[in-house]
Amino acid sequence: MCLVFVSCEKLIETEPVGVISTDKAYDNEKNIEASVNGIYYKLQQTGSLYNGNFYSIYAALSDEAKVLTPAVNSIEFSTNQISVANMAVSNLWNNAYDVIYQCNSLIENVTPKTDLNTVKKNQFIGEAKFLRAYSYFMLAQYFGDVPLALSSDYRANNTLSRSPVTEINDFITEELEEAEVLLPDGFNIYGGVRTRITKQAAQALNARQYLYRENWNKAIEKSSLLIENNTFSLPENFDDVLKSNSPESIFELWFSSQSAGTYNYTAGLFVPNISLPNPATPGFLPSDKLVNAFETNPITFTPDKRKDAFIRFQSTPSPGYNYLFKYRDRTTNSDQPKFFRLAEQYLIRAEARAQLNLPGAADDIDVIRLRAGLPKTVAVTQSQLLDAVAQERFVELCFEGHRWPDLIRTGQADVVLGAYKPTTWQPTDKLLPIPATEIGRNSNLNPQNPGYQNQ
Amino acid sequence: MKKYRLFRINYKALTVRLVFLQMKIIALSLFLAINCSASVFSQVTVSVSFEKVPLADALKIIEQKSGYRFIYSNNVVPVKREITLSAQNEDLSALLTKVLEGTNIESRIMRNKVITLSEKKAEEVKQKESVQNLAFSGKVIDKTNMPLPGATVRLLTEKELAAVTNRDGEFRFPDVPSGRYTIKINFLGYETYQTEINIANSIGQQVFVLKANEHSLQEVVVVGYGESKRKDLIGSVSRVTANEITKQPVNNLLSALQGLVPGLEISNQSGTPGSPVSVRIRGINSINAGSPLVLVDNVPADLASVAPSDVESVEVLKDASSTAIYGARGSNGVILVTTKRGKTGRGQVSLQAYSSLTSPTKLAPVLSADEYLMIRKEAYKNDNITYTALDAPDLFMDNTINTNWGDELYNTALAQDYQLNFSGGSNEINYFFSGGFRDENSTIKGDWYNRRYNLRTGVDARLSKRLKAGGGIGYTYSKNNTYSGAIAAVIYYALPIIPFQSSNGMDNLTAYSPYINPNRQLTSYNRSTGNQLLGNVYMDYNIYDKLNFRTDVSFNNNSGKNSSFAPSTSSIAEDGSNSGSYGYSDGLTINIEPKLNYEKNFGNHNLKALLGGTYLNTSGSTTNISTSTPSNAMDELNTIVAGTVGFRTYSEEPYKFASIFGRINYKFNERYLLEAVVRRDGSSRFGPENKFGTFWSIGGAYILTEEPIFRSFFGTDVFIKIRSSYGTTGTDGIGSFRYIATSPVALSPYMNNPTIAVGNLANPALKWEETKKFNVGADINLFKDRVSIVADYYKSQTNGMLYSDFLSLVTGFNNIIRNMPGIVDNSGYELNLNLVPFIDKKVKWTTSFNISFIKNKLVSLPALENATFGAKYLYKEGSPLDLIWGFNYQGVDPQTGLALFEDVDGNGGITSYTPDYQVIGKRLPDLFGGWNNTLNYENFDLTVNSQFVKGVLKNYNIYAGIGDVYNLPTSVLSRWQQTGDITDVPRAAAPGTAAAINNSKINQSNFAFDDASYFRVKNITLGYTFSVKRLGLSNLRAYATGYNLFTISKFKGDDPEGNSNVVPMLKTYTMGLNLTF
Repeated sequence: MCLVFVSCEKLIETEPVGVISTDKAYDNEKNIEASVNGIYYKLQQTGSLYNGNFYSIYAALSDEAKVLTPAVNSIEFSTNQISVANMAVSNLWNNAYDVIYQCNSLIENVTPKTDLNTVKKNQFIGEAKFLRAYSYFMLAQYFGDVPLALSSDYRANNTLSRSPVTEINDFITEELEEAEVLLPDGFNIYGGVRTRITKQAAQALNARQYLYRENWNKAIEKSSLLIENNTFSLPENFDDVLKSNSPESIFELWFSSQSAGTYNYTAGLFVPNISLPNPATPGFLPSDKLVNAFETNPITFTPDKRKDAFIRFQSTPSPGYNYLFKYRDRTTNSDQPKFFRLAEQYLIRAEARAQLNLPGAADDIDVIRLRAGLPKTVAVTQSQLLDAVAQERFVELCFEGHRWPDLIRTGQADVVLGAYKPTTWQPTDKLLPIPATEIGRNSNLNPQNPGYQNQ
Repeated sequence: MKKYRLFRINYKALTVRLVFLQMKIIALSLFLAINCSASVFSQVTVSVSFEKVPLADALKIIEQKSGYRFIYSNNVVPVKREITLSAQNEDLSALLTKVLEGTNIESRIMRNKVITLSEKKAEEVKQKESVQNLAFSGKVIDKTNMPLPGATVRLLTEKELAAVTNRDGEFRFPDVPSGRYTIKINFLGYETYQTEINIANSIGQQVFVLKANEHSLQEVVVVGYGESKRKDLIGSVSRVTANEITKQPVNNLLSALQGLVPGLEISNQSGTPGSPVSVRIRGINSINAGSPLVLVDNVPADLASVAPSDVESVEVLKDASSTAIYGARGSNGVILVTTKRGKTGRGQVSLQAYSSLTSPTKLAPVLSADEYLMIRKEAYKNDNITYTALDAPDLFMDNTINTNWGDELYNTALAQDYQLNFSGGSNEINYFFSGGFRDENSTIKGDWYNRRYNLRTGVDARLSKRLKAGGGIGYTYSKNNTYSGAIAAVIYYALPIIPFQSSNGMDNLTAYSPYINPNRQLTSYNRSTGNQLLGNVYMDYNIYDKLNFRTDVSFNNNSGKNSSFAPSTSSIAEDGSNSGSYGYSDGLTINIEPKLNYEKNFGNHNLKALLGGTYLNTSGSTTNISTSTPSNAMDELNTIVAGTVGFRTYSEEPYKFASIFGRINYKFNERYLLEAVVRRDGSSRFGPENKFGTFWSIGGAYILTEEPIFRSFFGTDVFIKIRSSYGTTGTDGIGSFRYIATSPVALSPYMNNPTIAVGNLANPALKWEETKKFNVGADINLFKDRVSIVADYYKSQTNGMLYSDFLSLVTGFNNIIRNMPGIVDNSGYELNLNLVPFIDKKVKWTTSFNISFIKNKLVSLPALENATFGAKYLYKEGSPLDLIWGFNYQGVDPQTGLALFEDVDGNGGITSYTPDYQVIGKRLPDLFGGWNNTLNYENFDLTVNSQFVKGVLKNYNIYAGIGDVYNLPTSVLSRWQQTGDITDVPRAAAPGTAAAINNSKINQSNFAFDDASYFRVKNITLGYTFSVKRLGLSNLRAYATGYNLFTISKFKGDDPEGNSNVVPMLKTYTMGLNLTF
C-alpha cells in the first residue's frame, strides 16, 4: 500500500508554468537578480513610504506644506489629527513590511547558496539588507516602536510584539555596517546609473542614522567618505541637481515614463499641469513659511537661487499661488526622486561638527550657501551653527522627507509646530498611530501609541 | 436584413431536402439487405391421433400425411417408445416437438422435405451448415393492447439475437435456427419480460404482453462507475431521459433539465445565444461556491458542447451515497451524461429538425422622450438651477425625436436545429452515428449568432463470449459572434431623444458624447470559435462469471479562439481608439479508469463489489493579448498587427488527479440493502502535506413491502422503500498552485529589467473542503405504479472552507489561503410526484410535480471579523450565502422628496462598506420546482411543462438617480413632485447636487431590487404521429412547441430569470419534425 502511494505522489506532481514558484525565484543568478529588482519595484508602489508619496505626508505633518486636497487622509496629516483607520497610514505600514518580507525571503534563500559568484551574492544580500534597514529606519520614524520581523515565517511575524525603538536602531546600525562591506563600490557595476544601492548609499544612510542617533563622530566619518569621494559633486546649476543621475545623487529610485506601469506621480502631487488652460491646483503647496524662509543675498539683493529653482508661481486661478517645482516632470521622469544626495552629507557633517565644537562646521554650511548664491554664514557659536544647519536643511532639503524627522530629533517639534498649528498640535502627535486593523489582527501590537488610544 | 434571412431559410430548406434524399437511399439499401436474407417456408400442418403407438410407426404415419421423409438411426432414436397424442392441423415442427418430447432427440426440417432426427448435443456441431432456419415474428403490446414500439427483443443463445419492435409493436427475426430459446423483452417503463419459447416451423406470430411499470422500479439508473435498478437504489439519484430532453428546443443540455429534477437548480443567465447556464445541486455548500462535477461518458467536459439530442440519459447524483464515489470532487453533486449508443436490432435512421422563432419574453418599459425630458427639466427646477447648453446639452437637442431603443434593437430571430442519426446493431456490433447543426440568432438586431456543428460515433463490439470493447468520438465545433455584453443595459438606459435612424434612413451612428448611442456600441463584437473533441474507448473482460474487469480511457481535447474588437466607432466619443483582445486556449484531459466488478448470489444474499482507480491528467494553456490603435487604423487586422500592446498573458494550469475507490453493495432477502463506499483521492491542487484525502459513505435501505406480511396484504401493487445515507465528500475546484508561494513574473520592470516578487504565502497544508452529507428518503409506488413518490430530506455541512486567514501585514501579506474554521449548513426537502391520473386504450395522461426547498446558512466564519472591508460585506454569519448587500431604503421624505436610508452607524452619512451596508436580499431561492404533464390521445401528444422559483431578489435596472442623463423605468413616473406627496419614488434631482448624490443611492438600496419569484409555463408542445408505414417510414412525428410562453411574476424589470442587465430570456415558437426510417 505504501508503495502504491509513493507512486501516486509521483502521478500527481505538477510544475507551475507562467508563474515562478518561490523556491525557484532564488534558483540562479538571473532569478535572484529579478527578485532584487522586484524589491525596487515594491518601493515604487503608490502609497508607499519610499516614493513621492512620503514627501507629501512629511510635508503635511510638519510645516512645509499647505494642504489643499480634500482627501481625508491628507487633511488628517495636516492637522495632525490622525485616525487609527487612516488608509494612508495603513499603506505606509503595509508597504514597508511588504518590502521587509521580500528582503527577508531573499536573504534567507540566497545566504545558503554556494554556487553563486561571491561578488554578486554579496551585492544581492547587501541590497536586501540595506533596503530592510532603510524600511525599519522609516518605520521607526513614523511609528516609534515597531515589530522587528527578520524572517519570512509568517506564523512568528503574525504575533510579534513591538521592539523598542533603540533595538530597532541598533539593528539598523549593525545591518548598515554589514551592508557597506557587502555592497559594490560605485555605480560602474550598474552601468553608471544611480538607481541601485551601492556601498555609498549605505554610507549615506549610515551617516544619516548616526546623526539621528547623535553619534556625531560616526556621522562625520561616514559623511566625509562621501564628501571626499570624487564620484559625487555639487553641480552649480540646480536643474542639474534635480535631474536623473545627477552628479550629486547617491541613490535615486528609477521610474518608467508615464505610459508604462510604474510612472512616478510625484510631480502630479505638487505641480499644476500648465499645459492645460485652467490647470487644477495641486493638492500640496509649499507653506508660506517655507516660501518666506528662502533668504535674499543682502549684498546683491538677488534671491536664494534655490527659491527660483524649487518654487514657482501660478497666476490662475486668481490671485495665484506658489507651487513646489522640485519634482517637475509629469510625464517622463527625467527627475527621479533622490533618497540621498551630497548636499545632505555636507549638512550632516556640519551639524555633527557643530555638536562636537569641531572646526569646519561653518565651512560645510558655506558650501551649500555659496552654491545657492548666498554669502557665507555668520554663525559662530554652537547654537548659531546648529540653527544655521537647521535653516539650510529646511530650504535645501525641503519636500525631501527631512523636515519632520529633523523637528522631532532636535526636540523642536513642540515649539515649532505648536506655534505653527496652535489649535491642533499635541505633543503626542510625533508618532503616527499603529493601524487599527493591525492591532485587530495581532493584539500583541498593543499598546497603541499615546494619543490614539481612545479612538 | 429581413431579405437576407429569408434567403437563408430557403437555403437551409434545400440542404434538408438533400439530406432527405440521402436518407432514403440509405433506408432503401437497408430494406434490400433485410429482404435478401429472409427465407420463406411453406406451412405444413398435419392432423394425427396416436394411442400408445410405437415411435417408429408414428413417424411413418407422419411421413405419409406430410409428404416429408424421416432420416434417423435406430440406434439413436428410441423407436419402440410408445406415443400418445392427438393433434388437429398442427404445425409440423410443433407436432414433432410433441412427439419427441421426453427424448433426447431433436428434429431438423431440411429444405428438401427431409427431416433428420438426431441426438440433441451431438447434432448441433454436425448441423451447422444445414440447420433449419426460420423466420420468427411477434408483437409486443401492453395490457391495454397498445403496441409498444421500440422495445428490444432478445433471443438468448450463445450468440445473442436481438430485434426492435416497430411502430405497431411488431418484431421479426428473419433467420433463426429452430429450437428452444429464452426470449427477453425490454421496454422502458415496463418490467422486463422473460420466458422460454420453442421456435419451430411456422409457430406463427406470438403476442407478448408487457406489464407496465410506470416510473419503473426496474428502470436501470446510471450511478457512479456502474448501474443500479431504481428498486435497489440507496442514494438520491434523479434520471432524465432522452425523451424529455429532446422536447426542449434549447441549445444547452442544462437548460433542457430546468424544472425536471428536484434539487437541481438551473438558471439561464441571459437570452444571448450560447450564454452560459448556471447550475447548482442542492444549494451552495461553501463560500467558494463550486459547481457540480459534470462527466460526459466518464470525462469532465463542457455541456455547452454536447448536442442534447445525442444524450441518452442524464443522472443527477445528490447525496453522500451516490457522490462519495467521486470523493474530492463530489461535494457539489455530480451530473452524469450518457450519450447514445447503438442498440441491437434493425438499423434506424432518424432525423430531427426544427426551426424556432425567438423573441425576448419581456422588455422593461422605459420612459418616452417627453417623459424623460419632463423629468430632466423637473430635476433642475427642483434644485433651482437654470440649466445651460453646457451642463445639460440633452435638453437642447431635437425634442421631436422619440426613440424606443428596445423596440428598435430587439427583433424576432430564427433558430434552427438539424440532427441526423443512424444506429443499429447485430449480435457482434452496435453502432451509432450522429451529426447535426444548430444555428441560433440573437434577438438583438444584427448578425449575431451561435452555431454548433456536432458529430458523434459510438461502437460497441462483442469480440468473444467474454470480451467486449467499444469506443466513441464526439466532436463539436462552435462559432459565436456576439455583441458586447453591456448592450442590454445600454439599450435600456440610452436616451430616447437620440434618433435611431439618420436622415438617410441608415442606422444613426453619430456620437453624442457623453451619452451612449447604442448603434455605435453594436459596432463592437466578440467572436469565438471552439472545438471539443471527446473520445473514449473501453474494454470489458469477464474473467469468470462472477468477476469482471473493465477499463475506460477517455480524453477531452478542448481548444478555443476568441477575438473581441471595439472599433473607434463603438466608443462614446467620436475620436476613440480601436482596441482588441485576442486569445487562444488549448487543453487536453486524459482520464483512465480501470475497474473490477464482482457479484455473487448465495441463498438470499446478493453481494456486489467494485474496486477501481482513476487517473486524470489535464494540461492546458491560455494566451491573451490586447492591442489598440488610434482611430485612423480602422479594422481589426490592423489593430492586431500594428497596435500597441496593452497586455500579454500566457498561463498553464496543469492538474493531475489519482485515486482508488471501492464500493460494496449487499442485499438480503430482496428487502435489506446496504452500501459502503470508500475513495482515496490525490490531487495536484493541494499542498504536499495533504495531497491525499479519504472520503466515504455508508447507506442503507429497507423495502418494507417486500416483507411477507405486507406482501400478503398488498400484493405487488404497493412499493415502499426507506433509504438513508451519510458520508463525506470534498471539493478541489480551487484552481492550481494555490498551496505554493508564487512569484508573478508580469510585474512592471525595474530599470527595464524583469522583476519578480513573492506574491503570496505558501500553505503546504492546503486541502479539500469537506462536506458531510446526510440524506433520508422514501420511494413509494402505489396503485400499480400509477402513483410514485420520491421524497428526500437532506442536511449537509461543510467545514474547513478555503478562505483567507487575515494576517497582520507585518507578515508581508494580507492573508494566507487556508482551510478555515467556518461552517456552512445546507438543508432541504425534495419531493417528486409522478401520477398517471387517467389511462385507457386511447388516452393517457401522466403528470409529474417536483418541488425543492432549500435552506442555506453560513453558521460561522470567525475570520470575517478581521476581513478587509470589501470581503466583510459579502457574507454574514447566520444568513445564507449569495447575499445582496445595500442600503436599507426607508422611503421618501414627503417634505423634501429626498430618499431616506437607514443610518445604521448613526454618523449622519450613508456610506457603502460601513455598517450602513446591510443584507437586503439573496439570490439563492427558497424553493423551486416544476410541474410537467403529458397527454397522449391516439396519435396526438401534448406536453405542458411549467417551472417555478420563489424567494430570490434581482436588480430591476435603475442606472442612475432620477433626473440624471439616463433613461429610467416608467415606474419613476410616480416620483415625488411637490411637498406633501406620499410616494415611494424620490424626487428628480439635478446631477451633481447633494440631493442627486443622496437620491442616486437608491441604486445601491433595496429600492432597486425586486422579488424575482416566478411561475412559468415553460413548454407547450403539441405533436402528431402520422401513420406512414406505406412510405417506408417507421415513425413520423410533427410538432409545434411554445417555449417560455407565459410567465407569472411581480418582478418590475424585464425577465425575472437570469442576471440583471442582460438580454432577457427567449420566448420561442418552434415547429419540428422527427422522422425515423
